[in-house]
Amino acid sequence: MLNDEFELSVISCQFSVLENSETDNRKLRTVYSESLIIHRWFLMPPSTDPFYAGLGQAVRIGTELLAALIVGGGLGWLADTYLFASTPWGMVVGLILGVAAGIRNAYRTAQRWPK
Amino acid sequence: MEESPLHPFELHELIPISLFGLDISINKAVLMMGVVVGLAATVLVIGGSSRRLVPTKLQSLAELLVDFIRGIILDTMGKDGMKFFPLVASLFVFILFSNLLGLIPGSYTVTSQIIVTAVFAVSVYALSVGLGFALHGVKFLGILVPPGTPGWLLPLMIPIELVSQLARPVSLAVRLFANMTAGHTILGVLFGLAIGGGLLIGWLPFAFTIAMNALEVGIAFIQAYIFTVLSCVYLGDAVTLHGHGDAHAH
Repeated sequence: MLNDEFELSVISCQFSVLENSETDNRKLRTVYSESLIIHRWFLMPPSTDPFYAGLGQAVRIGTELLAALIVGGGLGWLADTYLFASTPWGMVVGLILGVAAGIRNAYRTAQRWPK
Repeated sequence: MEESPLHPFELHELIPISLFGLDISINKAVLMMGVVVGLAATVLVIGGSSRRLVPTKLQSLAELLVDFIRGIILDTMGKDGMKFFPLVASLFVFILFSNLLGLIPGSYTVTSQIIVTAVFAVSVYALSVGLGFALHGVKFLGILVPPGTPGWLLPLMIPIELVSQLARPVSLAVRLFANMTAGHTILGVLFGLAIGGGLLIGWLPFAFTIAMNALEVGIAFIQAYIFTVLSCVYLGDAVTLHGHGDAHAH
């Protein structure tokens, strides 16, 4: 999985550590694992990484609320204009339903968060 | 010098073409879409053709991509979901490549046009609904009733669930489009400040553009990931009739 350049950089990292402090095994290992993390981060964040799973779910909530509001209001407006000629009441009911659906969607998203 | 930060999103015809009254002119977005598809296909075809044990760089990239997408599908839909692998993989690779290539100065972000993201979102959602009705018939309408709803609440719950179902494609499309547009607008504003500020103070916003660009690379990944995961969740809902995707993902 590691390419040549990357292994080279890891090895040079190890050398610099060796020069600065004596053969500190623990330090070597942290340098190696840190560079592994950098390598993985730049190529592909793993789907099981809790940071990405969490971030991915957190940024959903805003649009979840907005989209339900758009759809609810839009459906109400359509019903007003083309079906019943009942302006403003269709849109009022639609927006209220949209708010409820948005909160329900956001709640549902939050329920899935890893404990 | 004074230029709207939204200016880069405007599209102008490069080669006007009209076919039977349909306007199919080539503009920057069409050109960029071709570049994205070409590059993605090149990486995956060349990377996929070499089967060495110690992989070459392109093979390593292609394997990482395929393995990552496989992970998403197994997480959200389980083993049965591998039937959707070609669809999900094309979606992910196209969105990821267009997000990332759009960050190169001078290029164009295809996913910052809402029509592009809306077509993806609506077709995925239409596929999931069609699949649900094809597999389960009328029983598929049961997703409108959350489990454990008392009978007297049904007249309220069904409209709410209907709206929240219809909000799915909208939120898919708006999320990707808004993130891409917002990121590039911020970059545009910061660059405008950097040019307007001159040498004395302009280096500060310029340094911020570099930091923002790094953040945008992360956002490009995350948005492609979210779009793919949610598509998988919606398709998985339609197949298993579990309803609300709560049972699966993560």
